[in-house]
Amino acid sequence: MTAAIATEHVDEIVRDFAAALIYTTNRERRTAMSSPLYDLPGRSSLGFAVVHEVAPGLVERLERVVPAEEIGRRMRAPLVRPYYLQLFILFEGYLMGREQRLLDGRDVPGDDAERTARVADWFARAAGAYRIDGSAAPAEGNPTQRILDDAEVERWTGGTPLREDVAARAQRALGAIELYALTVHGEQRDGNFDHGPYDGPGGEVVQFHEINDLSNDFLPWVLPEDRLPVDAVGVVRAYPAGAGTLYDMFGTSSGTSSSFDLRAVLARDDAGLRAIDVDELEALGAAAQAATGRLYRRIAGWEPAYKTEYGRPLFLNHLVPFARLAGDPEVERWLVAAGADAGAEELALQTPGEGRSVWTLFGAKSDDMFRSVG
Amino acid sequence: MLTSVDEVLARLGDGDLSRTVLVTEQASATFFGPILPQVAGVICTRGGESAHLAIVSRGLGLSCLMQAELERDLTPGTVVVVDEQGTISVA
Repeated sequence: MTAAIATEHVDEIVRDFAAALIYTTNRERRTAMSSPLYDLPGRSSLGFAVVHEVAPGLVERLERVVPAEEIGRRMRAPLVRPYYLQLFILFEGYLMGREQRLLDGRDVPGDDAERTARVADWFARAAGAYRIDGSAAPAEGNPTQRILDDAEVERWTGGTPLREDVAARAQRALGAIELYALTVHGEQRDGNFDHGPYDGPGGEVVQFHEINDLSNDFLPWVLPEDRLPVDAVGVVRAYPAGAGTLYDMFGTSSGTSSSFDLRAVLARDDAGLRAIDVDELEALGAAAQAATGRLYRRIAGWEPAYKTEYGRPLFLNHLVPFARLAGDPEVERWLVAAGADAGAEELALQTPGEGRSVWTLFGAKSDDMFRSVG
Repeated sequence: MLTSVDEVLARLGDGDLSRTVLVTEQASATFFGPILPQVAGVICTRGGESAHLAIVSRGLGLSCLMQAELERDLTPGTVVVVDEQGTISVA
């Protein structure tokens, strides 16, 4: 039971998470990004505060419906949301929001140790059940993100590779859909998921490249006409034997060779997972491009304050899929109500365009990144 | 050099952008949302290979230079050539 988890074990989960996070950010040499459309550091700090407030209550309610391990198992399929990034955001957001309060010298809730234990334990059990290797995060030195069993991989890799010209059309359509997903998610790389490596039938290295949350009905700036007719699309890539790819905690990958063939083009909608042809993918790409233009004009008209405030629904959008996967509408209703005004205290402390002190943690050593609960 | 939303929207009305190269210091991909799929390439003075602009450009099959060092301002209408080594020259 969560309540019985030892403080030492909570600190161990937090330390391991911090180590993996620092490894990922150092490896990718990510740099701070800005955009005239958004207050990117402000919206994320608000999002962290929101997650810090609601995550303990959410996982407690989820646990009453289904165990964390069952949530992880239900996530184990192609083109499913929530995917790894949502697990990551739930824990990272909680820890970053907690740490910002501590850095500010503000009080944390009186039951801080119990809240942190609940979130840490839930994350570790859900992520461990989701990932084939049973660990909670891609490991330093050999970062992988395998979530499918062999039978599911074989189901989509046995076909004839797409002709080069057809594959090029698919790639370009995916590019337009990727840009759409970035726009829907306010310049957050949410929805873009690479997982693997898997063994192909002839020794190839297989990767699933997916884009999900394409028919979002939660984010207030996405209107019904902006939604695509499928929830997710993806391609199955086969790289030559021995090709190396590095998977990260954000659900993406790097170091991937550009030399691969496509074994399948997939989509998921209300009817389930299916293979689609490139003509359908191109139609989705065209719809995505048109919707991107509409979203852009709408977002460009936001009031200055909303360039930060949109972080509240943006981060809640990571948590809603857990409630839906659990299958109890009451959990989602609670989450939406609890999140409506969450983060108000954090917002009042922000200066627009200026990052908060929590961002300096990315220069810390993993042992120092998040403070112990002990 | 595009720096504002209004400038992006103005380019959207320019018609054929297939011979246009975007020059920018913004590594954001969504900032160029409506026009990015239509242009020939991107030159960005910031960011890196994991920047959103680089990732989406790659997906769209665009030539894209990140962390470009420009020795002079490139004004709208300047004809540039980007070779395979990433050298930018004014034609």
